Amino acid sequence: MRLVFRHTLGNIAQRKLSFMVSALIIGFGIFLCLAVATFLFNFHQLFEQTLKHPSGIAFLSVDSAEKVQKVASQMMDLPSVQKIDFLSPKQAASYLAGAGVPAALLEDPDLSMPWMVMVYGGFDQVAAQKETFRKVSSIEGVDEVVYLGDDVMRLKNMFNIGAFAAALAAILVSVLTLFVVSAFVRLSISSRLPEIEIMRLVGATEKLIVTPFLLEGLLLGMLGSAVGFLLLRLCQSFAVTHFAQAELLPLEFLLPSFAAVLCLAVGSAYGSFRSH
Amino acid sequence: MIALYHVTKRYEGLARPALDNVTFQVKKGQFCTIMGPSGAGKTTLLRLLFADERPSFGKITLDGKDLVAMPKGNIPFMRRQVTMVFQDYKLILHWTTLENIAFALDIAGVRRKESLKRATAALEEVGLLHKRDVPCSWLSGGEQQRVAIARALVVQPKVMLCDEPTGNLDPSLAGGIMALLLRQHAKGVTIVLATHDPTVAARHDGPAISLLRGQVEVRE
Repeated sequence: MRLVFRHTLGNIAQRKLSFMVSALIIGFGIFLCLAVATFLFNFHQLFEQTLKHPSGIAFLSVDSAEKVQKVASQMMDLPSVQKIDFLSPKQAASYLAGAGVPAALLEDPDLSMPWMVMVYGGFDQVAAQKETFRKVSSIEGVDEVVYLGDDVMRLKNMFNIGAFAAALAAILVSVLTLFVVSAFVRLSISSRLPEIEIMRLVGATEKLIVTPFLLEGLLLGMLGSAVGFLLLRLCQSFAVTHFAQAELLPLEFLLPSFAAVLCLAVGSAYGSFRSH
Repeated sequence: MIALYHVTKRYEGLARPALDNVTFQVKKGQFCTIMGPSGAGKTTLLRLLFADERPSFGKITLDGKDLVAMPKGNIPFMRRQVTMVFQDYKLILHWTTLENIAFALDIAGVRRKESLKRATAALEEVGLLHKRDVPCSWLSGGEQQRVAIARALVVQPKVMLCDEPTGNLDPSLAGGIMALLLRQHAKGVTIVLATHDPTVAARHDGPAISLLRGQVEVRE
């Protein structure tokens, strides 16, 4: 085994520049793939959060506290509605001003501010949210309902598009890894053909001959993964400092991804050796 | 030790077989010379004995084991007992002489320290200890041939196959190489040497086999 390691390291040392360039190319590909996946992961978390805590606002047409109470009890009877908050016309005006509604509109004497009800629900499906707010709008005394249903659907569509892009990126990275490792190993084999022949002639087993190439592929995959991960961490710290909080991909995702890259690298090295 | 029974080797596209119904035996500890002009089939014969090729017909045995039926996975282990000295030396030229020789031992699984010690001893035996750390590309043809012999003998083989080991050398260097091989023979190594030079066979009293157009004539 020591002979195999000595050969592998010796071969890499002979071609260290092409080894480093190959590892950087693989690493950059992995980084791009992981960056897309990280973005999607954070996006998905926010999306899930939005679905679990959606807020819809019901504007009421009633004006007495008694009638408001009646509407409220009907809303609370609806499945999925977990909590409601009442805002009196004065509180409603203050809330809407805080939400960016122009003051001129809020102070218009022709428009009287209605009672508002903030509805919170434990929805995990866009369809359930839509259905609940349809029922809220049909309650007598509810004038208008505003909720995020369609926007959530748009977000979901964007997430699906992103997931498709991530899948494409993963395929591209796989092809890139296969290509780069294969090119490196083929180069390595070409420059060592006399040595391989001599190894065979002095009694080297097939395992002894092929293992250094597999190790080269493995090391290339490992270094590429490390470069990709490092770039991802750097970008994440940059994003956290300059833009917004972003969570790193969980290990349950990262480890299988790196394992897949290593398998691809070793498989590619073996394939290149066999086909050469 | 080595026996060939009705061995024929045909190459595709050639009308005449490279070896045609060759039968002979080499006993343990013998120094056997295979003589013949270029194209007579000497190298083909050695390659068959080295399991680098398989015969089209016939049987070859080594120590009673059938080389033709030997699984591919066993051939490397056989080559640690039957070594070959090639006409073109087959050295890794950018490696030092010591590395080239120790390599054969490393492959056989000998510990590094031990393999360096034995490789140094082999270099001393072929008279190249002073070139221990010199890359093989810096050596002359005769020196490279001696390194190749050192690599073949360092694993303490049972059989050494030598393909024209003196073919590219001037007579004085050729004499040195022959003396080296005879010393190995004296230690009990079976040697099969292919040469086109009839004077080589005259330097020892072992059997000589003449090959002509792939056919054999044995002289004891």
